[in-house]
Amino acid sequence: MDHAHAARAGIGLRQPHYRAFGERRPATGFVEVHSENFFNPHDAAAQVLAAVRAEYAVSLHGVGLALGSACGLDDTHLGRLAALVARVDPVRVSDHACFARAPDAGGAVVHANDLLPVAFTQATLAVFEAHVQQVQERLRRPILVENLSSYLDFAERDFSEPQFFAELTRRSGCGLLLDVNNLMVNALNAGADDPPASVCAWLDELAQCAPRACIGEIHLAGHSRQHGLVIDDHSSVVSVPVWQAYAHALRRFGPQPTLIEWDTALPELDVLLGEAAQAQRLLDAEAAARAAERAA
Amino acid sequence: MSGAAPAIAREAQRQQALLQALFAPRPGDVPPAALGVAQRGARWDAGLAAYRANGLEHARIALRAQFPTVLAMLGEAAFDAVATRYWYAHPPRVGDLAHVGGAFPECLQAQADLAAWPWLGDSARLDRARWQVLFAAPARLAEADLQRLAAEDPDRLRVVLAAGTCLLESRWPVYTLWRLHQAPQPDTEALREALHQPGEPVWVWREALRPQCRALPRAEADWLRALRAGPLGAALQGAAEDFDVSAWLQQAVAHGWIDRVEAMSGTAGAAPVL
Repeated sequence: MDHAHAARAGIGLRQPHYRAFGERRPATGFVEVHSENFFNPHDAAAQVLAAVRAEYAVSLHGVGLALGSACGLDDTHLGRLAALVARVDPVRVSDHACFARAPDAGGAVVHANDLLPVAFTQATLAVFEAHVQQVQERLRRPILVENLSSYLDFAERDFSEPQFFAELTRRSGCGLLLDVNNLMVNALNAGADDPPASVCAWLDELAQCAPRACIGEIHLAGHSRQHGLVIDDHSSVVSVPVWQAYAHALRRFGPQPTLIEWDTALPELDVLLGEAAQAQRLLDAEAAARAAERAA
Repeated sequence: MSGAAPAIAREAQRQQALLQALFAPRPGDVPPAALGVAQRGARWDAGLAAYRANGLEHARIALRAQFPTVLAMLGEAAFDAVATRYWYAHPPRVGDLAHVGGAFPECLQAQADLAAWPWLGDSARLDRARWQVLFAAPARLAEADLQRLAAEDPDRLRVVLAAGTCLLESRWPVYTLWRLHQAPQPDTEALREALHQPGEPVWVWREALRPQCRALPRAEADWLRALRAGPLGAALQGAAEDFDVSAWLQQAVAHGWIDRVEAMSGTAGAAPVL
């Protein structure tokens, strides 16, 4: 886990904010970008990222590795990620606990370009373990794997979701990128009687079964209700129940680097910075509470 | 993972079943058995629809960015309709939507209801070329290359054009169409007139971080084809009398069109470079 930039809040940097961010150079703990948007080393985005990296800690968050794909990883994609990591020297590298690749009827592999859900089975765990190790060996560094928001799940399972991540981190040496909004989206879509309590129970179970210090970063974002489902669309401010669950996560796991994600209907940069400031207040409060406990 | 092979094969089938459900032209009412999904009825419909909508929306956004001229020609509604057909007919093969549009020009050309706009495919190829040149490394032309040009036998030299260049051939005036569609409200009369013009070869290149293009006079297009096809000597021999090679070379060096000048082991039959 990264300690040099621990307990700082950061923001996701998206193209519409490049200019404002470059001109203002706001104080933020770190900047996170989607890895695939910077695979091309020759375009304007690469220059933007190089300039940002000169002044900020940068975290690379991928959406395309498809770590849970039973048909294997795309070596070209992994090679491009490795080249990006070598160029940027990020503080953290992460991707999702999803699959996206599978052969079509003719045997050619299709990549859905989405974060598709996986069954929490022994077999899936074996796939993830092998692929996470493959990535970590290629990148020569541990990665973080993020829990998904999922709109479908599977009857067959050998683990609860926290148990699955606990085992994955234990077996592969990767960390967990804990997305609290994803937990809330899943609880809402599952029809939980008390979604915030359900999220807190998930976090409590993880704290009980996972290695200490398994979490390397936390994501916070907004969600919306569309056509009868809650969608993790990163299009709004963090909801109050998610802030409450985040505070619970901090109590359970201690202050962790925390990202405000916003990908659609982007507001002014100040809105993101305001959300990050709120996360920083909670991080600082938890750090102070722990310091006071130690002093007592 | 060898001991777990049967179970992994079952997961592979599950994943394949979900991908097939996502890319089926119409969503199925009932989850495939191999999927083993927990949801049924309206909840299955909503969950599947969420994934189908998300993937498609990302693809539309990427295609709009990669094919701005086609978007301007068709308008948003028609463009999105074709993008939807494309998504289901040509599922992506890689996890980077920057490369999603590879077969979009051919897809446009194959749409029966777009047959009245036969220039759309080539216009898409121009958009695609302008997108693709941004992925190319800058030209590496060095002083030694220029010295070789001046000192060595042109029959034994090959001018290798930069990877960030592209010669696009079309039987439509695609550069003129592209230029007219740069205006927020294209001049419809000028567009009508343009469609009666002959085809235009278009030269596409990257200038620093931006794509550039221009229509080529026939002599310059012939020259570039000859450079791609073989030794410099043959290109010089075939160049039109009124084509100013020196002026072209100055431009090529200034704009980064030449990657290098290399000695050929033979005197003919070199592979095309682009």
